Amino acid sequence: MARHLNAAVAPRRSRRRNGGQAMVEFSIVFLLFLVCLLATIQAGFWALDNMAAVTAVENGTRIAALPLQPSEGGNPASETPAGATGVDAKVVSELRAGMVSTPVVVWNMQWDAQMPQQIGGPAATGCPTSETWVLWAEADGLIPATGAAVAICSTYFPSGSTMAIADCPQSATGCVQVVVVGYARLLVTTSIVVLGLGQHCVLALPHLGMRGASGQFCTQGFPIFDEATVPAETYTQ
Amino acid sequence: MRRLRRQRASGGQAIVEMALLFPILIALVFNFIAIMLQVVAAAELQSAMSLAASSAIQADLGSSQGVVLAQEAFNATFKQGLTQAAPYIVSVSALKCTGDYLQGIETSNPSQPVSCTVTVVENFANARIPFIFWKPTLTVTAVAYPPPVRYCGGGAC
Repeated sequence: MARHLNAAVAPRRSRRRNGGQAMVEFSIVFLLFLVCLLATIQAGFWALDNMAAVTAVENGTRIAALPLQPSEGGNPASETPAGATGVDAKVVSELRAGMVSTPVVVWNMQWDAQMPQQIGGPAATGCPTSETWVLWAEADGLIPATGAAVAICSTYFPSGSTMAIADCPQSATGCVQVVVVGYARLLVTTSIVVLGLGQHCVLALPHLGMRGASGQFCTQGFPIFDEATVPAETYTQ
Repeated sequence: MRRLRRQRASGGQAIVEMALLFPILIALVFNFIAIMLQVVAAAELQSAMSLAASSAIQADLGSSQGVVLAQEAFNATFKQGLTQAAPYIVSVSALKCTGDYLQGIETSNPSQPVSCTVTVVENFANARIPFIFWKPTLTVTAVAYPPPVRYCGGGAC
């Protein structure tokens, strides 16, 4: 009798065990598949953000290289050089339209001018590098806590300027530089950062008075950096 | 007994199948990422070349400064903007710019552009991305048209 009962119950029990095992296997397999899928989508978004940055930088550089119009304070008689000022505002809407959910900010040049003195670095060279971006992202309250944002910045270097960068084209009219720098927003912040991807840390110096001043400050996101430098144009050249 | 053996055999089948398929899945993902990197590099290269060609026509007609400006604009844009963060770019050829304007030939034909070309070789094995071994070569050409005030030597054509 007992043998008969066991024979009737055993297949049901093993079917239940099989069901549970399939569920566990499926969850493992699905998790791996999901990670791959998210990585692919993230790469696509990063590429889109980068393309938007490249387009914005190119257009911004072309605008910046042109001389200021008289209505903008330019003077054809004195050959007022390139109008780097105001370029950010002209290009930022284009950049915002192209970015996939990554916020866009305009680089604060006044803050940048103080920055090299604060960190004891060389003279100000205008637009930020990735590292100065991270420091600024931490110091400025406008940037999201994750640091996932890009900044647009444009600078004019007059000919023979002591601030001229090494790669400034040797034009008699000086050169203009436009930079988009920052970090693309992550789709799934926590899971990717746990894997150690998309995290960028710099040493925050104590005398900057920033959060995390005692150690490293980290931002999250995949880096975006694009820069263009061209000779400035004047009315006749 | 036979049923029990079949059950045991099918247990973990999904895991084994996944173990076989996972490397292929990972390879697909990394190849997709590499394609994205290449697309971004190509866009950056095209943008840098376009700005270089535009810079070349900022020098006076026939001035050797045109090629210098183009090269410097290209270096400052492409090399600074991309290669510092892109170890997969292994070589960038010298920039070649040609055109009647650069040779000092005055022409009344505004359709004669200045043309600049560069070739970049990439090797994704340098990018520490697993499963990617291709070495694509990108050749990009950009043109710029000198404005009439330049190609007519400042006078009306």
